[in-house]
Amino acid sequence: MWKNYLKISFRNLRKRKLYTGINLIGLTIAIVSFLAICLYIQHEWSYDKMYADYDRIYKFNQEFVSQGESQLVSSTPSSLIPTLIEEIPEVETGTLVFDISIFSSVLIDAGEGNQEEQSFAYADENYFKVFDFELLSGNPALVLAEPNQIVLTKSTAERYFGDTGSASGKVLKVDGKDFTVSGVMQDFPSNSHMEFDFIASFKSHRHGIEPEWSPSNYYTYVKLKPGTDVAAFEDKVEQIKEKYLGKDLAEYGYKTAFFLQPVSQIHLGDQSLGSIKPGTDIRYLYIFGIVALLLIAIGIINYVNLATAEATERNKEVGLRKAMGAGRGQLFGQFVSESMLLTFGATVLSVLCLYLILPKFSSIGGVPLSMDSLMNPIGIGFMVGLIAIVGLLAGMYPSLILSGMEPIKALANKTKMGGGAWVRKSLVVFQFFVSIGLLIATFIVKSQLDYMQNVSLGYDREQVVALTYHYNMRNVAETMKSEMLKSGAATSIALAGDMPIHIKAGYKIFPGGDNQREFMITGYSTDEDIVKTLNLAILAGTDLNENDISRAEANESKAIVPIILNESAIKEMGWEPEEAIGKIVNFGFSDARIKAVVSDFYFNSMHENIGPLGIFKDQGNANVMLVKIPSGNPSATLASLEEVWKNFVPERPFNYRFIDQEYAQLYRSEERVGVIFTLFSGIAVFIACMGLFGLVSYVALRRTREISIRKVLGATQKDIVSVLASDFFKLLLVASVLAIGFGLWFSDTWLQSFANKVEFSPMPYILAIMLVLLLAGLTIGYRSWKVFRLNPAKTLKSE
Amino acid sequence: MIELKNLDKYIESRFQRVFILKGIDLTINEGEFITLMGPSGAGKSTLLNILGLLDEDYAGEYLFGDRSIKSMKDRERAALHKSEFGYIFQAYHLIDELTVYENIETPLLYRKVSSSERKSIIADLLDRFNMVAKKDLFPAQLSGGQQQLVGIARAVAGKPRVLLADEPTGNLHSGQAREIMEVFQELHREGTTIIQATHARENADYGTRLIDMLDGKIEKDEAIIHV
Repeated sequence: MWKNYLKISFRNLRKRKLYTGINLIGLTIAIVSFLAICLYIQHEWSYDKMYADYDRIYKFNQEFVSQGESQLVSSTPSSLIPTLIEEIPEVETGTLVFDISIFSSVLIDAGEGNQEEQSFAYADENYFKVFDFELLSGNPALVLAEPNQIVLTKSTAERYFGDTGSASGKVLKVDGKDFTVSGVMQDFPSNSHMEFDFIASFKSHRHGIEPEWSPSNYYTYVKLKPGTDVAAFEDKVEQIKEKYLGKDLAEYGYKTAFFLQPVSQIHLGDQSLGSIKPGTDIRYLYIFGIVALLLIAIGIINYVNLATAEATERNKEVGLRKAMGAGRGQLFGQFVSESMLLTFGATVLSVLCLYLILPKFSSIGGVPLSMDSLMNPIGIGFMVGLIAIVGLLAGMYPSLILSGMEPIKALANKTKMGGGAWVRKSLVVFQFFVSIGLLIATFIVKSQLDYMQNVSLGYDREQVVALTYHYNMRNVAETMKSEMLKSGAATSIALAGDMPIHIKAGYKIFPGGDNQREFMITGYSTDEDIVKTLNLAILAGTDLNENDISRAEANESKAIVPIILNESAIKEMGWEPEEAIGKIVNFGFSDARIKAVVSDFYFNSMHENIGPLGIFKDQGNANVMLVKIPSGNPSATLASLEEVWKNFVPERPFNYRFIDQEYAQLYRSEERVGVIFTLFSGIAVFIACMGLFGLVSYVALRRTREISIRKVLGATQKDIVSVLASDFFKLLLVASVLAIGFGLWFSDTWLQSFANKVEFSPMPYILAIMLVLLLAGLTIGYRSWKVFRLNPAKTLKSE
Repeated sequence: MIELKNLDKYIESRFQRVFILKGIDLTINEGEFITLMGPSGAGKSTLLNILGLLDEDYAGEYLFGDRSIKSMKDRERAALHKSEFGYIFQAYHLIDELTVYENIETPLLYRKVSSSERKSIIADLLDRFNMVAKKDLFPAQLSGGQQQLVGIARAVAGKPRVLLADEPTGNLHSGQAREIMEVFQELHREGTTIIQATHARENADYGTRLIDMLDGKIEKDEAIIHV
C-alpha cells in the first residue's frame, strides 16, 4: 500500500512542476535555515558539557557590595581554592585559572625573537583534574606541578616548533623568563568557555606560592563530590570567608559573597559577569529559535495553500477513488504521503545545501559549525522527526479537505472551496505578517547599528592608533613620544590605561560638604596629552600639563592630584562647570583638585549611559599609547612610527589597532544579529512571495475564461492586473497592520537594552511595507501579464 | 437481493421540494441484468448512485439482503460498498496518473488484497480483455473503447456481486459499444448482477429486464424475452 502511495505521489509531483517546484524550493530554503539555526543553537547549548562530571563542576563568582552599590565579578582571590580544598571535605578538587591577557599581552621568545601573545593563562596543578582536556604529551598530574612549566596547545606548538612532537622539553622565554614546555594539549574545543594558547603553571606566579585574599584577579573552579548539597556548601564557604576575610571587610565597610555557577551555565548565563570568552545572550537563542520555526511555518503554509488551491483540480481523482472503495483514511494516507515525500526530498536537498553554505554561515554566526553534529544517529533521528512533523503539518489540512469531499460532488466537479479559501487567506496574512515583521525588525536593528556607528562620540576616533604599551617601556616612553612627534608621523600622543571606547576602572568620589554623597566614578589614568589627542572639548578650566603631578606621585607625597571631570560627574555633584574648578574632592581615597571640566563623551558601549568620569595623570597604569596620526597615507605613517619604535624597544613587537575599527568591534554581537536578521527576513520574504506566485497562478488559471472574456470586452492589462491583485492586496494590508504592531513591540523590547538609542522613526515600517508590496506587486503583475497575453480565442474555444 | 421501498430523493428549494426520485418501489434479484432507460433528468443516474451507496441523502427504505442500509453503521456500509459493488462510468474516469495495470490494481489495494493475489487477479483480467500488451500504458494512450475495457476490468477486479454502469457506451461508437455489451453479457452469464443506465435501446436487448423512467418515477418495468 505504501509503495503504491509513494509511487502515485511521485508521479503526481512530477506531473505538476510549478506546484512541486515552488513547494520544494520553499521547503528546502526553510529547512536549510532551520537546520543551520538548530546547529548554531545546539553548539551554543553544548558549551562546557564535554568535561567528565561537568554537572559537578562550578565556577565561583563574587558579589561585591560597598555603600549600597552591588557589583558582580567573576574573579576571586588566590587563597580561595587552596583553603576550600583544605577545609571543606565536599570539595573533590578545584583549580585556579589566571587569565593574564585581561591585563596585558605577553612576549614569547622561542629563539626567534619576541612575539606578542594575547591568550596566556596561569593555572594550578589541579587544572587537568577538573578539566579533562586531552594531553598529546605530558602527564596531566605533572605538567603544571612545578614552577616555570608551560603547556602549549597543539596549534601553538605547531606555530612555534613546527610540530607537536618536538615541543616537549623545549624552553620558551615568557617576558624574559625561562619556561619549559611540559606538555602539549589538544586545542580547546570551540564549545568551551575557555580558550588559551598557553597555560603556565601558577607556581611560576608570586601568588601561586603564597596565596592571598587580595586581589580578586583569579577564576576559581571547584569540583564537588557526588551528592553534595550546593546550598549547604555555599554556607560553608560563607563561614570560611568570615573566618579569613571578616575582619578586613568590616574595617573597610565592604561586603562580599562567593556564589557558585554551574560550569555549563557560564556561556549562556548572566552576561554582566564576564568570562574568558564572550558569552551569548540566551535571549538571542530564543529569538533565533523562533525565527527558525517561523521560516518552517512559512514553507509549510506555501504547501497548505497550494495544495488546497489545487484540490479543486483533484476532485475527479478523489471521487473515483471513493467510488472504488477508498476509505477516508486511505485517501488521507495517500495525500499525506505526497507531502511527506516532498518534505523528504526537501530535507535531502537541504543537507546537500548545508554542506555548501555551512562554512559561510559559520563565519556569519561566529561559531565553527560542522555537519558532524547532524550526520550521526541522533541528528538523523532529528531529521526523520522533522520530516514526519513537517510532512504531517503540511499535508494534514489539504488531505482532510481532499479526503472529505463527497464522491458524487467531487466527480461532478461541483465542490466549492469556500471554507478552504478562508483558511488560505488567513495563512497568507500570517506569512506576510511574519515577512514584514521580520523586515521591520531588521530595519530597526540596522538603524540602531547605524546610529551607534555614526553618532558623534564626543572625541575623535578617526586617525587615532593604539599601540600596545608595556610598563617596561616607562623609561623610554617620553623620549619615544617626542621622537615620534618629531618624525611627523604623529600630531599628538598620549599614554592611557584603556582605549577610550571602553574605560573600565571604577573609583569612588566624595565631593565633601553636608548634602553631598559618595558615588561611583570611572577613572581614566593617562597623561597630560589625552585632551589634545582625543580632541576632547574643555568646558571650563585648563588642560593638564607636564608640571602636574601623577596620581602615584601624589599618593606617595600625600599631595593633591589635579583631575579633569566630565560634565556628568559635575552634574552629579550639583555644580556648574565654572563653579567646580579648583574645588577639592576625595577621589579614590585621596584628595584631588578639579582642574578642568570636559564635555561628555562615550567611554562605554551604547548599552549604558555616559556616567561620571575622572581623568588624571598616571602613566604607570598605561596599557596603550594613543597616537593621533596626520591624515594622508596611513601605511607610510605607521611605517615611520614602527621605525621609531624599533629604535627604542626592538625586543617588543610593534602592534597597532585603529580606534574606529576597535569601536566597530564593540557591537560585533549586535552586528551579527543584524546580519542574521537581514538574511532570514530576506528568506522569509522570498518564500512567501514564491507561495504568492503559486497562488496567483492558480487563481489566474481558474479565472482564465473570465479574464479572456474581459479582454474580448476591451479590458486593458491594468484592468486584468487589478482583477487578480485586489484580493491579495487586501490581505497584504491586513498583514502590514499586524506587522506594524509587532514592530512597535520589537523596537520597544530590543532597543530597551540600549541606553542610547536611535529616535523613533517611521522609516523602518514604511520601508518594510513598501518593499514587500513592491515584490508582491511584481509577482502578481508578472503572472497577470502572462494570462493577459493568452489568446482569448483559444482559451474560450476550449470551453 | 435489493429492495427499495417508497424511495424519494428531493432538493429543498425555497418554496417547494423538487423531486428527483419519487416513490420508487423496486426489487432486484440476484443475477438480473437490468437496463434503466429514460430521457436526461429522469433520475437514472441518481438511482444508480443511491443503489451503489454513493448517495445517502434520500428518504425511504433501502434493503440489501434483508438489512436496511440506513440502520447500518458507517463502517458496515463502507465494507458493503467495497465488497459488493463495482462501478463503470460513461467518461471512463480512469486515473490519468496511473497505468492500465495500476488502475485495475487500485480497488484491490483498497480491499487490502495481498500482493501475489493482486498480481494473479490482474493477470487474469488483462488476459481476458486482451490487454496484456497495454498494461504499462497510461489512459491517454488508449482509445475510448480500450479505456472503457480498463474501466470494466477495474470494476470487476474486486469480484463485486453487483455491477453498476452509468452510460457505459455513451462515449463510444457502435462497434466498440457492442463489444462492451458482449462483455457485460458474459459477466451476467457468470452470475454478476448488472444494472446499467443507458439511452440506447439496443443495449437493453442484452439484458433481462427493462425499466423505463420519467420524471423520477418508474413508468414501465418489463422483462426482456430473448427469442
